[in-house]
Amino acid sequence: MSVLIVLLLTAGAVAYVGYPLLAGRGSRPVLLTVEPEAVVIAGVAYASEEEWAVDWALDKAEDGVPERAAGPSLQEVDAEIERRVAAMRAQRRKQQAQGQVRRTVCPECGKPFQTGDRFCARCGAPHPNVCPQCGERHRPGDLFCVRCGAALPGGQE
Amino acid sequence: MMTDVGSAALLLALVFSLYTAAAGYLSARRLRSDLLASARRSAVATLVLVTVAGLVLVLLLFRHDYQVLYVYQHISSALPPLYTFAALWAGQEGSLLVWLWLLAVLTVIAMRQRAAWSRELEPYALAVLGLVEAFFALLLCLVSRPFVLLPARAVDGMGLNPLLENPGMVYHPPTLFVGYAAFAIPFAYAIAALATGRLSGDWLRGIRRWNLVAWAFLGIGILLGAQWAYVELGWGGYWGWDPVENASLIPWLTGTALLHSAMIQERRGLFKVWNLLLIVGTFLLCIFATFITRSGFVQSVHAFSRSSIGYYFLGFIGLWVVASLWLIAARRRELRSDAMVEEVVSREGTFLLNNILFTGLAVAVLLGTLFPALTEALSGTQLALDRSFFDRVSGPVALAMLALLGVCPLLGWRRTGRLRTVLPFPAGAGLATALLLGLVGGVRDGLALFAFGLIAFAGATVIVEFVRGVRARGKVAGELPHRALLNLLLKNRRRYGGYIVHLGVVLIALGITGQGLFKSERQVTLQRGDAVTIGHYQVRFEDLSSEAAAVKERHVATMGVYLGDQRIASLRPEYNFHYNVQQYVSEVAIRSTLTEDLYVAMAGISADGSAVTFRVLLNPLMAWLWIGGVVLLAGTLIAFWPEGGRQVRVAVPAARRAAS
Repeated sequence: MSVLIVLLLTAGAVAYVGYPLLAGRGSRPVLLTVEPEAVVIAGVAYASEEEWAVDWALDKAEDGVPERAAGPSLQEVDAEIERRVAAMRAQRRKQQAQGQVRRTVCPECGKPFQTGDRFCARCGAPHPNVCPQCGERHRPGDLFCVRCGAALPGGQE
Repeated sequence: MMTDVGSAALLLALVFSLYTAAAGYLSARRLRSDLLASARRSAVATLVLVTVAGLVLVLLLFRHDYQVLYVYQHISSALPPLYTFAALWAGQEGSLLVWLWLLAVLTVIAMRQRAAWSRELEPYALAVLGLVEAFFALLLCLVSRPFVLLPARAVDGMGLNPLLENPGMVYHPPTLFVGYAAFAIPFAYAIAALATGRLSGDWLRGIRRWNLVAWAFLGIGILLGAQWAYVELGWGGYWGWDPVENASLIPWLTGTALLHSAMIQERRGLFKVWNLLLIVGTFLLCIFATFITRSGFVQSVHAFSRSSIGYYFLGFIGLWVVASLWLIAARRRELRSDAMVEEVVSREGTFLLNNILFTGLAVAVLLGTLFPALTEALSGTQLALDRSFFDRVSGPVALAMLALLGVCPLLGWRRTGRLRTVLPFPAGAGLATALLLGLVGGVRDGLALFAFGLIAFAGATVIVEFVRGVRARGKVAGELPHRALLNLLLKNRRRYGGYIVHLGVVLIALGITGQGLFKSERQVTLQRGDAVTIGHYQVRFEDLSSEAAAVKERHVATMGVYLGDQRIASLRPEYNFHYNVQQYVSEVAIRSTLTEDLYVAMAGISADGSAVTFRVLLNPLMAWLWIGGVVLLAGTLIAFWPEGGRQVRVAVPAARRAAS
């Protein structure tokens, strides 16, 4: 009887422990808990900026700006960037396929502008959404350039 | 038959814990996630096997199978079921089994925390924990076997030592064991961090709550032991500087130092080597405490056994000391501090001082505890230090700690801060308390005035810190006071939970000081109807009843407690002759109030039963020691409560990343 119990125990334990070795190397995604990030201000790590602010009010902390937030790991950041780039590309391809991507055309002669153009390459008319002084893009209806302050041609309307 | 199952389960546990260690290590070396998964399962299998062994022993105890040596030695048929169960840790074999079981449980819990910081370290930590488990399993298989059979079945067992028949027996040893075993987790991760070289603050931050759990269990375990000693041993005190008591206090002291200096590493990147030494040292001191308790290495009231098991313990401790020092030396470049202590009177500076005090006291207590063994080794005769040595060493250090406890929380990181404007209130509270007690309260003892002054000072600091915190939150976040107080505790649980722990320590200090400096004791022999006066109490010996029970001869005295002419209570101390040990064991009666404990124990009965010798004590402020313990536990819980992280899905297998 006891031999049977011991045999059962052994077999069960060996099977349970050996299973992953037989089942092969899976790479199932795992859920990880990431601790709240620390904020470093004036050479001291804080759980949050609020904690620093309270300490500062208590005169226990020095003035400073957050130096670095020991945020997500490089791998996590990489993965996130890859994901977003892939999403944007897919979006662009989809729009192109549906003919939704429309370039701005010259209001005078109808030639499409290229990225970065300030004036029309054919007739010399200014780009309607770009500051003729510095090249900053602006929204239709803006009166002055947000970057250099120059009066915008489209603003007179 | 059942003993075979138990022995086999232990042997299998040894095999599987060794496999856990090997598979864990190899999974990181060979980048194999399947091996890591297998190692994790092996840790679970080890737990199941140890549980089977433990259940077998429990079953044997409850079946009163007196053919099993352990059962025969530790219980008898007359023992109540609760103590029959507690006999599981009454002897060396059983308590090592409980140790191993707790370690296996904690290992599985630690492996279930899928935290980002632990991923790279987990394989190595698992390997270390596997080795520690294997060590205990080896002891249980070789030198301290719980399932040894007697040649024939005995009629009845020898029974439990009557001193162990106290509720303390049920909860004091397991609590301590949890504390001891839980320090294995930080230890394993420290070794893993050294092995992988991932020595940034992450792992220390992650391991923080394990440190806290281990420290809290150890501290509460010590207090429970103190209370047990107080109500059971009958000499009127709670702490005798007995080697086994010291052995549990030493890791608690280094653990306290660790909790504080780990904060400095997290915040400022200082004390890295020091923290590693503290973690490794604390765990090995826990093993050492088990060793002291279980080896009879130093004579002690707790020394229940004397065996060759000591060599195994010393070998195990020695190996880990060498291994960890070697690892630290190899990683010394990665362990350089990120910054320096700029000002002595700053958080960092005073934390350093606090560390020196705690570890200094730990070393002093350790040397004092080992003194008999050391003198025996050097001169051939055992010279023991009496408790006055320990009192003289620990007293001044404890006072210095209290002073630090009053100053340190007020200081800022890197600099002194607004100490001059903040200090006057707690300092004034301390001075006022000392003056008031001296002038109005009639306390003439200079040391007592100093101690009470410091206690008031440290207590006032905690209050000041809460008030300032509430004000600061009001200023920064514009919160109303009640909301701000709640948010202090919720948003900075670690600091304000820690302050509540400080408050608990202050209350404990109050109890220790009151009892230590103001206890009065009288030993009197009374006839029926006689009374003894102690403090403002009069204690009258009214009656003595005797009866012969199955396991003991009971003698119960009825004592009337009078305050003036009014009878306010009756106390019933007992003095029982236990047949199994052929000894009288005293059961104490205590009337406890917030201001003082009246403590009555019987110390002897005359041959004709007409006169009884009583030991009557008045222990002022004793209750605050236990109240402080409860406060300490509450504060620890607040500091322990998780602050909530976020969950991230990671697709790469852990072992693969471990090498990158």
